[in-house]
Amino acid sequence: MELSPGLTIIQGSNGQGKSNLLEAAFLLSVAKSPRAGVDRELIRWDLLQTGGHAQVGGFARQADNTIHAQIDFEVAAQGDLQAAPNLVRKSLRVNGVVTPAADFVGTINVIAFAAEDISLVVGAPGERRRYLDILISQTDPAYLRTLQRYGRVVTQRNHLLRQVRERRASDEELEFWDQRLAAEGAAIVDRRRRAVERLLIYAVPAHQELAGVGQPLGVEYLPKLDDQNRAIQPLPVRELADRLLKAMRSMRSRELGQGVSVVGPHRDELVITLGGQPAGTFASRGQARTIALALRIAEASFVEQATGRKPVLALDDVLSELDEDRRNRVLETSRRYDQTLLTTTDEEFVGEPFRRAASHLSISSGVVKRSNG
Amino acid sequence: MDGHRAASLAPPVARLIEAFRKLPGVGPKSAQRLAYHLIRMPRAEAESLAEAILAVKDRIVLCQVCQNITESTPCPICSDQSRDRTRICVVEEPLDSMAIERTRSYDGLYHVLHGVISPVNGIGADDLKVRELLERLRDESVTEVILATNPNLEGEATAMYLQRLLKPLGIAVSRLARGLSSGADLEYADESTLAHALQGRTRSADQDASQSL
Ligand SMILES: [Zn+2]
Repeated sequence: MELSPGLTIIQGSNGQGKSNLLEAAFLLSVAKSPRAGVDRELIRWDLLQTGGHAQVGGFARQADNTIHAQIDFEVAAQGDLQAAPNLVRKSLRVNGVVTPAADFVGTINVIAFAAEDISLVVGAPGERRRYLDILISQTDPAYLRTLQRYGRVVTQRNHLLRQVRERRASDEELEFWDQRLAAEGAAIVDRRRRAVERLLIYAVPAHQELAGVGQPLGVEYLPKLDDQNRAIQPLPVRELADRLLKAMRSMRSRELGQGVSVVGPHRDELVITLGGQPAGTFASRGQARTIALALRIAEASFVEQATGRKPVLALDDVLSELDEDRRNRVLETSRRYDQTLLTTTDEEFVGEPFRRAASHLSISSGVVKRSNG
Repeated sequence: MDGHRAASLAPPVARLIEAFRKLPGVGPKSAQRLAYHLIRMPRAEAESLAEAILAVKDRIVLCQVCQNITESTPCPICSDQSRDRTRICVVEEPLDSMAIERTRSYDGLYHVLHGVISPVNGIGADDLKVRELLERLRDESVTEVILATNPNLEGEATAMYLQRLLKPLGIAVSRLARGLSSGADLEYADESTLAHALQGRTRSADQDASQSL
């Protein structure tokens, strides 16, 4: 199916599968579902029951070339899944060539806006770390590799901490994993700090444009380099690593007691404030939605600035939650991008001038039809 | 496995499926597929497979010296008096020593650890053939140990552990790493890359193994 440049409105009632198209686009961008959780949800339930194969593919036309991205899922049957929950196997291809995740991500850039984005503001810190990680990964393949290595270090180290506690290993063996956690962790903290600095440049005006002059948005990065999450000055990576290493040594008994690594970027926080107050607790639902929208718009600007290419915007049923003024501002913003895919239950949510210029698709029982709006 | 279905299987089939399930990387589905494949196999072929399995158990032993798998101990490499007996190359698995042999650019001895430190899998240094290595270093006139574990996290963890362990012995310890991409397996590295990595190995005293990732 070919999608036109500009705005494409995909209209359909709830449960007809209109989000699938957007999810597919996002999947091709970051090889992950837009929602936190496992890939399993993306795959039809009956496929999970019987086992089998699913495929998502797409072409992206850029200034001078066309890129084909494809993801194949090999799905194990339900019986096997209980034994080994990771039996959804993904393979990623760019132009037919199998490609590691770090290089696949960022080949096609899609910024996904969804109603669930409100959890960026009101959800757990993990939601905001995930936002930040996807943002950076789209522009820096080395970052995703570092994250993957870091994740393995933390897993290995946590197991070793428990083994040391149970005297099945000596605490000297922790030394290697301490050093790796410090080295990989410091690289992540440094990258995140710089990303948040740049993100602010886009997020504050984007928020002001949506919310009007009033309580300004604040985004603050608080890494966990010791016993508390604290803001940091720009520091050399070497120094960040030293601080992590020192913290691990001074908190050894606590880490052994809990059997988990308690310092490092897996415990970082991104604090969002409105007029200086933590937005997670003080913002109204409407304010939180506006902040989430601003964060997505800032993400698009961030990716565009870093890659020199305009990302595709995917707005999944976000308009119905907004008042008319904000709807128009979002649609106005989308005009700065080459392609926007938008799902809605009702085309009335899209203002008249935007609707007239758009392409129209309608979707019913998973079948997509071109319509004239 | 579903108990109801297992009960309705002929016992010899169930036994075979159970046996396959114990193999690494074989899930219940594959175990069933393998079992039904064997049932349809001509008797001669099945006998030859069974015989091959027993031959491995009866005739393959670990070399008492280097711990590699062999038909006779000491293995041909350890018994070869023309090889350079002052150097030992430490590898994770038997296949890794074969990969290095194929480069034809190393003529020292080997030591196979049979694994790598991995807390997630509950494997520590005690589960590897480390004591056997220390034993060899006491008796032989070895002057250099080359740590050729894979350039990934677990391989590096193992290399660093050994490096600290060997330091007091006053033996030169070097790390095979340069030229090999991080995360690559030795077993799959091409021969010229591996040969290059062997020549460019770094003295661990100059470069901390943990920094080479
Ligand atoms: Zn031998």
